[in-house]
Amino acid sequence: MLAAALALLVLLASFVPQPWAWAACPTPPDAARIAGLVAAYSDDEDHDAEDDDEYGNTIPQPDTTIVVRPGVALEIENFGGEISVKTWDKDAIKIAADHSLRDKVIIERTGSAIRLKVKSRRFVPAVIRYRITAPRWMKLELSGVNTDIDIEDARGEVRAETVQGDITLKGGVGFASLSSIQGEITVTGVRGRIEASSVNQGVRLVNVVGAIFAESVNGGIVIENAESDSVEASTVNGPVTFEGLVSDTGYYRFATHNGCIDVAMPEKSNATVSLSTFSGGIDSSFPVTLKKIKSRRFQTTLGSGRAKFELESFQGTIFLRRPQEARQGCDSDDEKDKDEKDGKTKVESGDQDDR
Amino acid sequence: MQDPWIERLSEYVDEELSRPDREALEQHLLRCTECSSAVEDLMAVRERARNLPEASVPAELWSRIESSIATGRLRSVPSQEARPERAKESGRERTGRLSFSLPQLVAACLAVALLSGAGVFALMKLSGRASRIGPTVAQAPPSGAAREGATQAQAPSRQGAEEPRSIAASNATVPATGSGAVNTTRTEATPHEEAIAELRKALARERDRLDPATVRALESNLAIIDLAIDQAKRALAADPANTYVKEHLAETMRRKVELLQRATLLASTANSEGTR
Repeated sequence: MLAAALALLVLLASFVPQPWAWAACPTPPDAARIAGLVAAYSDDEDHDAEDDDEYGNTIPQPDTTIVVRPGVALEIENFGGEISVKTWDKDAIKIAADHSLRDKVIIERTGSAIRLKVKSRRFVPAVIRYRITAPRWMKLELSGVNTDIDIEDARGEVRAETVQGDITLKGGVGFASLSSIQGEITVTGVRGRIEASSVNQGVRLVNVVGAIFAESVNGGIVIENAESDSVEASTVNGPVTFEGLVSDTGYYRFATHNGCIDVAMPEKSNATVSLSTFSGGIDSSFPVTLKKIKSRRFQTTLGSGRAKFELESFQGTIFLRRPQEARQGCDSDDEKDKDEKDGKTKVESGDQDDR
Repeated sequence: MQDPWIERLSEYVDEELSRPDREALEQHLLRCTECSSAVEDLMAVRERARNLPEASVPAELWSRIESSIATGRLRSVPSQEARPERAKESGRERTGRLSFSLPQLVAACLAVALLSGAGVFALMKLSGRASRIGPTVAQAPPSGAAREGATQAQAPSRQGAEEPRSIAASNATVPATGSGAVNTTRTEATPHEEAIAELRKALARERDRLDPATVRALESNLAIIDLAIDQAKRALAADPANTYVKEHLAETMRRKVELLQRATLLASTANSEGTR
């Protein structure tokens, strides 16, 4: 009898929310209550028995909506799965999360942020699919490991970081800092400063209005229909493509070590274009006069030359073309061996010192 | 003879010239390679300074400082700087320690940033100057190119006069051969290489905390950067005066440092919930 009572006591104790689950929260009871709404913490033995799968199957959980006051940020730390954030005009955040019943989502409310964290009962990395609807103005700080992050129409600052996962930002206004080690970064239709960085994949920015800073190591960078007076894009192993409006006061820098640079700009732009390469070439589809500035550095001036372009490829070809012309085949290593085409300015580098 | 516009290039870059002056200078820039090159450099520095990323403090920094204090290795570090919360509690009057108001800190930060920028700019100018001096003196073209060679040969002395005194004085120490440029590059690369070695060690200690797939990706990308660095170094050995290759090498090494920093931070923040 005593043994049975003890066993029952132990069993009940195992279902009490752990103190560490809300230890960091200034209002633990509130947090625990909210967490109970969202979390799929095992509430009874049956759940534990029937849904305690070892294969990470996720199960939809009830939505929770929390009213938030302006200025509050949303912070999510995830391990595996997905973070999907959409926005609405309400001053409330709707949180839904699909996950295994052995995992628990903890909502912490601080003065300045709502923070979502995961705790796995068995210390196995959790796989959570968050579906968030947040106020448009809300600042988002999202991070994950094996997590894809999708954000739509955010009007507040966005910071997203993953290790293995893609990041997609669609629509919205404001500063965005997006970073992944092994994922691709895609930004579409955003107005604001964008900082996008991937290590092992590419970065793609389409219809972006605002300053752009994009970089990769082993991936290409594509910037299309940009409207910006400050663009910097660089990679080590991959092509860099830019097509967009050229502001007279703009500064544009594109650099790669192993890959081509393909820049589409109106022939009548007002820009000073500096081109540098060590063993690559220079190829323009419209007539330009290249002035040799230094060893393997050339310059051409279009119109008043007010805007500044710096194009650098260590061993790839630098292409200049008109916006309506087809993009160059940047993945070819042998562009410099192609025959010089009629009406094109083409310079082979490597022996420029003798010219 | 000193170019009269050289003193006004900064004003031009800062858009402080009157319209007639600006137009006159722009006409001059079309003809004067040295001035247009200097303007290009100034604009590049300005843009890079403008786009400097916010420096982030490593998450484990305080724990390291704390353990250092505990072991008595950092006794001279004022706790007020090391731990702002304590500073708030103790207050300036009670401690009597050195403290600064926000405007003072902002001013100090600006001063440091300006000095750093000026230092980098001076180094860049110096290395560029060294590379220009080297081949010009060494080549002395004898034939049809003599006229061009003579023009180039004048350039260093003119540049020396045009530059601020400190830079002109520094130029005097640069050897008048191509080797000067190589030495300059080596000097620039050393801090990077030291940082890389330190970060490599730190990463080696922490790499078990990273997911094997992440480690493979990081190693593969470090190898890509290493290959690029190697190619740039060989290019620089073949063409020591090439400022583009020098800058490219420095940038590629900086990228390697950043990737290692990122990898180390990633490993150090990996927690018990799973490896990264």
